[in-house]
Amino acid sequence: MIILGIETSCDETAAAVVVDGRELRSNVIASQLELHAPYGGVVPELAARGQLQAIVPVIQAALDDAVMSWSDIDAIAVTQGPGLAGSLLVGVNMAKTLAYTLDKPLVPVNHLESHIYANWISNRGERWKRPAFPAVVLLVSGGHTELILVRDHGDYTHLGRTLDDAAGEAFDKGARLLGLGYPGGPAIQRAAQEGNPANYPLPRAWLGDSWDFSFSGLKTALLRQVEPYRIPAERIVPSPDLPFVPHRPPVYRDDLPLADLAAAFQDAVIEVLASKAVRAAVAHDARTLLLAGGVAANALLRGRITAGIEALASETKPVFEFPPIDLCTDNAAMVAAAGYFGLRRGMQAGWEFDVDARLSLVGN
Amino acid sequence: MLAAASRLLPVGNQSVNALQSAGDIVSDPTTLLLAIDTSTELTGIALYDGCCLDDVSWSSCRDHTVMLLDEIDHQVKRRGRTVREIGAIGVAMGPGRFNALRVGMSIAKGLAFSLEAPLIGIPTLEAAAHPFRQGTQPVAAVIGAGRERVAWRVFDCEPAEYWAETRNTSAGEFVSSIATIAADVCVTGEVQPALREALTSLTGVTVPPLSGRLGRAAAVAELAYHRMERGETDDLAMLEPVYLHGARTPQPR
Ligand SMILES: [Zn+2]
Repeated sequence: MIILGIETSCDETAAAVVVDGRELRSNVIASQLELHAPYGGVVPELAARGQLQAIVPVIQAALDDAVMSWSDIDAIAVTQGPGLAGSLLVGVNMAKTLAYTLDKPLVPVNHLESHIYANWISNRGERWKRPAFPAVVLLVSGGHTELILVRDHGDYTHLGRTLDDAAGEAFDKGARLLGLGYPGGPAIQRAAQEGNPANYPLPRAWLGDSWDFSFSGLKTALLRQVEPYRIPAERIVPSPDLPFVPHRPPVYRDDLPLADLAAAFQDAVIEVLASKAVRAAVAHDARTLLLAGGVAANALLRGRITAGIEALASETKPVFEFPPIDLCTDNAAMVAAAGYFGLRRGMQAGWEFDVDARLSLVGN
Repeated sequence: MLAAASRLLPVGNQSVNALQSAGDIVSDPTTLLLAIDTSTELTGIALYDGCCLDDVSWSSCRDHTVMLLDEIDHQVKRRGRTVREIGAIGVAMGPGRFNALRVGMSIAKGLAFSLEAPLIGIPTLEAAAHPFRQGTQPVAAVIGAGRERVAWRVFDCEPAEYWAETRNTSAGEFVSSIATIAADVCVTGEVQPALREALTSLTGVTVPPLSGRLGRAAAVAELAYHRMERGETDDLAMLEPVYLHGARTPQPR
């Protein structure tokens, strides 16, 4: 079965063609990263405008790259939510219309679920991936930090989630505080390369036995570390004409230990994520530990989890898997894959199908 | 480490005009055009083949995504046709509510894309004024732009270069601008009762009854059909709503 996937939940417009939920035929992504970079985050109205302009060329490119035409497509899968409503509705209405004119099934896909299914996708000619259940998934991105137990296709249990900032969001805030670029994750990873995390140890929020996470305290701790180096800027007088007070990047003395602080910040985020993920996999007798989401591209996170699993007694060791980098960040191949398994469970949308900006993974 | 079939597409200036050739459509006199208007709370769709025009409109708030395609399907079936027989798409470009416009335009683009039909965008104020532009009398079209503001444009008024642009002002500024027009003027579109009272107190200003101001989708259909016949179709990728003002963005860092 050949599925066209469409993903427009945030600032990336993506379309992909995937065969039988596993074999990647095309994966096209138009990113608005440069458009939003000056604001240090995604501006929803700008994102929605970009979606409407990119959607047709992106789908056309996905069909072209797969060397397919409309008649080859068996079903259309689209992200229903969670995400930005203005962006979601572009993809959902496009997908609905295509399903209508082509008379094909339309499959609604939960964005979080689709991130998990990035782990099922392989290139043409490669051996198909079949992650074994039960699996524990650490889903970490700019919008989400979740630990999920997957007993079977479509059978999800939320083990834990962040109580405040998502891991990717924490990286963005940390990077802004250190005067590094956006997005924060790659910027901090780069700055941390030459640093020693032990020089400025930052606190970890373990939250006892729970599988939840918290990263907001970490930003405060980092703020305390950089404050002595800050060169005070002239006071900004708020203007009634401007809706926002202009943001100015902080200015620090030259002796700010930037590499050490970036390394310490990254270490504090990653240690909690890796440690809880490995412990959750063991606690739930998971046969597989899966990574998903944009932060899954972080090399330290992959390394720490690998080391954590190696340290386990052999009979409890889960298999650790993660998707290639371009399937970690938002893409439509994962939507097409999730759509395939969803359709096999009878997930098919009707006319009443609408976007759901706050859609949760396990029906509340 | 990229998956082999992956591709990053640059954003902004793609053109997919190669998909369409307006030429063979122009020579076909029975092209069935579907028009969609989601600019205001009165959502409308119309079908026009150059001869027979029908339309339907209904009040909708935030349920465009749920209702619009279903209504299009009903309308096409009522006419005894199938969606695959639609040969051209007209869409109202706004101004209007951003998200509602994007629903209409996403569906219009999806239809044009998959049916390989030309897409024609019509400014909403032009569609609102269309039925009243008979002679040389100036026609002003207005729709609400939120927070006591109105978007408006005056057609067929001298000097043309002064009026032929869409303005976004307070309702009061709109009324005083209309008062400066020397000729008799017809004001149509979304004229709320208070605005109607202020306008009709001016000499030489008429506001057609509400029933006459409905059917904007039919006007979009007519205007789009004429543009299609002249080969004036829009780019499927680049066509976007008339946003009137920029996105509210934080100051760049
Ligand atoms: Zn995501």
